[in-house]
Amino acid sequence: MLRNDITKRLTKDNLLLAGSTAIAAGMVNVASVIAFFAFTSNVTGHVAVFAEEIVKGHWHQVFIVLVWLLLFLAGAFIANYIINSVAVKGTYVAHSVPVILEIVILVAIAFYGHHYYSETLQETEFLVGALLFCMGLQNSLVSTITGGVVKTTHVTGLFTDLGTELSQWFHPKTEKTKILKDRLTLRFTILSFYLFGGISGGWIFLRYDFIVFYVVAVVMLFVAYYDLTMVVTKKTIMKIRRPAHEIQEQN
Amino acid sequence: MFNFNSLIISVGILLLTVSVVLGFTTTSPENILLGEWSEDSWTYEKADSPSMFYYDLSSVRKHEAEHWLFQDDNTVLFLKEGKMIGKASWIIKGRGHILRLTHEDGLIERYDIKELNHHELVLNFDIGMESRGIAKLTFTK
Repeated sequence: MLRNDITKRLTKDNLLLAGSTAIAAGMVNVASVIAFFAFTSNVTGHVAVFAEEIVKGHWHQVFIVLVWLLLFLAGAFIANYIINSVAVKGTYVAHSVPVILEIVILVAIAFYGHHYYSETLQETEFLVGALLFCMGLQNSLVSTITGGVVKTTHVTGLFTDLGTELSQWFHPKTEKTKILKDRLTLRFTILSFYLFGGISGGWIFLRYDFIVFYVVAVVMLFVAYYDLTMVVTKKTIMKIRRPAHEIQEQN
Repeated sequence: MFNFNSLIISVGILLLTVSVVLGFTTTSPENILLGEWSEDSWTYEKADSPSMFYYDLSSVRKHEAEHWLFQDDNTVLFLKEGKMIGKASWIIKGRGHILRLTHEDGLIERYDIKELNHHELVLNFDIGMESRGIAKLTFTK
């Protein structure tokens, strides 16, 4: 998922990354709507609300929504900045660092929410901001890794692409290419996994409250750890295939 | 000469400055809400006929001509004609646009805060995403 850059990525890599991060985004978004009455995986609504609050002259809300928007932006900025800065240490390392950062923040949110959250407005504003930062980080990471092919934290663009590609698929004058089929598969994967994440996230939150963010952290840990297990497995297979005397000589 | 780099940095600095200024000058809705509010009206905004409701309004606690006293320990007292008729805990959620009241008997009321300033509080009763605004409570301080 994280090992290959844009030039070497396979459809399978993108599908795995899209599916797992869409689950995380769906869980985060629905859990935050239930917990805080605020969406955290997309900012379209926040931009509209920002304009609405300016018109109404609700300056505290203008301040909060502006900070939330800037935090989403900061998350996206930092993810890409980290990837480019750490690229010299290898693709996998560069791509994993933002994931690890997201995991750390999610665990902190889960821990604070489960043990200390007393539902004050200030806490709510802070936690929503932290989640928006995480989602900006994740969206930018996935977009950077896949060259803009995959975005998993919101579905507005997804529905636009899906509509366009379905039209291409069914239009009598357009060819049903493998690329188009792969893209449609990718869109349906993101949509279904996002929905699954949303339903399961809501279900978990209603029963176990902030524990849901530990579960999201585990999903992201799977994203980070998956390639590592592949590398270890491949090395192990190569070792097994090598004649025993070669290994003994090496040792 | 037009310099795109400088433009981006300038916009960034401007947004950060606006955020900091707003952060220091605005008052949190939690603080504005504290104090006694006198209920002026309870009106239906979007529906003229009760038959439009698919929600059982008998479970809704009606507040008419009440005084609500929001205290800083997150309790709110409901007063009518000088007597206390109820008590609940209150919290504000979202970006400061949702008021949730939890009554002592466990009943939860949720309102969209349509307007909140130092003189006026307007609440829209909220029973779900599709039915906001069926009832409107207007208070003055």
